[in-house]
Amino acid sequence: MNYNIIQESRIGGREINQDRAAWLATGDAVLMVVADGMGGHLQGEVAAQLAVDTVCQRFGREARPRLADPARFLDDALRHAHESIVRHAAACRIATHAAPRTTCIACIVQDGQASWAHAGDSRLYLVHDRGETHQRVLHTRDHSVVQRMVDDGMIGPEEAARHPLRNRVFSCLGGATEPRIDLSDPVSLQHGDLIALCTDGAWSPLGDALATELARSPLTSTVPNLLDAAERAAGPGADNLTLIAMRWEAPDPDVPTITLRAGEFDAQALPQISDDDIERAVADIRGRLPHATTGVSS
Amino acid sequence: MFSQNNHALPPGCELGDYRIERQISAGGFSIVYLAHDAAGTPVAIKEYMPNALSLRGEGEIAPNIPPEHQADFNHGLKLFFEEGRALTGLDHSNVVRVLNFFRANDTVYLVMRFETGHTLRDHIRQHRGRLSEAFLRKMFSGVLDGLGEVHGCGLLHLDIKPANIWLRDDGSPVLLDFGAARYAVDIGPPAPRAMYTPGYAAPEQYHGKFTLGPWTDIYAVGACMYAALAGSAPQAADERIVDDELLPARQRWGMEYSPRLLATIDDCLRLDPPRRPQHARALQATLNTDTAADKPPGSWLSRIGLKGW
Repeated sequence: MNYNIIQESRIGGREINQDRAAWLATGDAVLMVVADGMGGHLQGEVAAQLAVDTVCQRFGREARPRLADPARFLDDALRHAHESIVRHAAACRIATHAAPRTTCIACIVQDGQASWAHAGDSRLYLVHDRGETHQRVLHTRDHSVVQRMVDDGMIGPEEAARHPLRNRVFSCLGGATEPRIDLSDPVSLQHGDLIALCTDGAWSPLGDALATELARSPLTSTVPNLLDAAERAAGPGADNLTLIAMRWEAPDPDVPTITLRAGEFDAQALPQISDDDIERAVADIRGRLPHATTGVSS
Repeated sequence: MFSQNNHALPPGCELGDYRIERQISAGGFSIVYLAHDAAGTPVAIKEYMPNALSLRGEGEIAPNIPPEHQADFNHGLKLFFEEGRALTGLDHSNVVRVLNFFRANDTVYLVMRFETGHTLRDHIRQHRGRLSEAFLRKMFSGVLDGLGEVHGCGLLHLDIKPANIWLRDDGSPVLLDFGAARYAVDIGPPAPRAMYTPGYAAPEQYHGKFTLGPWTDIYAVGACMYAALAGSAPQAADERIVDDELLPARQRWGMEYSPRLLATIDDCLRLDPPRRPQHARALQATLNTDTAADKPPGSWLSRIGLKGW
């Protein structure tokens, strides 16, 4: 396995940092995990720490050096983390409505494939890099009230970014209800692909630009630069910001291209388009118009 | 989605013979303006301006395209041409009308007829779903009339959703945003997922197992009708393939809408493409059929002669 990982967490404009992040690796498997303790609840940072600790401990026990089943590991680990937080709240006699809660996103890379699981609005971005040709960006779908509204076509993504309910999640670890945990299908990684796990403090101010920028340049300088940009964009009240990014390098750049699962990515090389091609296309379209009299170009 | 937004052209900015009045909307790939032509007629102008690939600062007119993005920028341009080419061949009252297409400011512009109204999305949101059967039949019949014309040209829309259906003030619909449209014959590799809308995209838009066809748009029309009753989009097709939790319209609204309408919605939303209605015109005919058998069974009020069906 050949990869690069960079991790950074910032307090932003808050009094405490309730974000937690960690990564661990054996020779055959890599774990990355990010948790965002929830501000409105007591000991959000405790919930986030318990989540990260639980997932890491289980990885240490089960990845020897491979995980038998990464998807199952992720599902079990997040559910156990939920239970640890619930047990902690009960031991501290914290009332249910105030119990500590946290989001969690965890990712395993093994056998050249990535799998991930999440609850809440911390995200995983996957950027498939086609080098000269194209980039494809995927991210997890937030378990948030605004994401539901976007899915339902009730609001647009721009509106979601400003919506007063944008911080409300309907699934998290800890709390009275069982979390909804979404598990990905395994995705085969290719040389140059980028995986980023982050809290909403990092993705919210920058949007998908966060991931596309990360994919573009060396991680060591880009991670701090992007967190700087997110912090600036969010202003003085900036939320905690946390980001772990991994770039996957195929061991041998000459291996044949792995074809991704059908329907997911367009792997076709793009033809070059010249200025003349553009002129011809515009002329062709204008020729179809009933009466194109106005406009700038002829 | 991108927050690194390009600045829109300022109000009053001259663009050929057009004068920009204001920005109407902005997406990841384009900005739409309200403008007036030389005669003072309002038009909608769509400007190709992909956020991820170009940057236009405040007060600037042309985008700044980093050299490493020029190829991608041009590729997106090609898709924008597809939209222009698709739409210029169409002349139908239920399909957005293209008036002009030109190149300026290092990018391209699509000029469309501007009509007052609002989107079906806003309409559903305002009424929290539960739109009347009469309205639905009439409005979707119009959508399908336009879609029949689109399909007749060998074109698939591929992103039909409430936000892309414009309702004029008289309630008649106009199909908008052909940014994802493709010619059926061109369909080789799967299109990028970024162009799909969860809930409205058919399963074959996620998985390359089935060919895309008119039935793909028909799934989306079914999803729009479902959303018009539910107030929200149905479960996304990729999730339905794994675990279909979508409650059939017949079960959910059996007491309030006619069995024929509900059965039609359920048929459109079948995961298996061959089991859906295959042609927009055939589906339109089903919606237009207005018989006594179409009354909802549950409400005795309707049985004793409630008007409106």
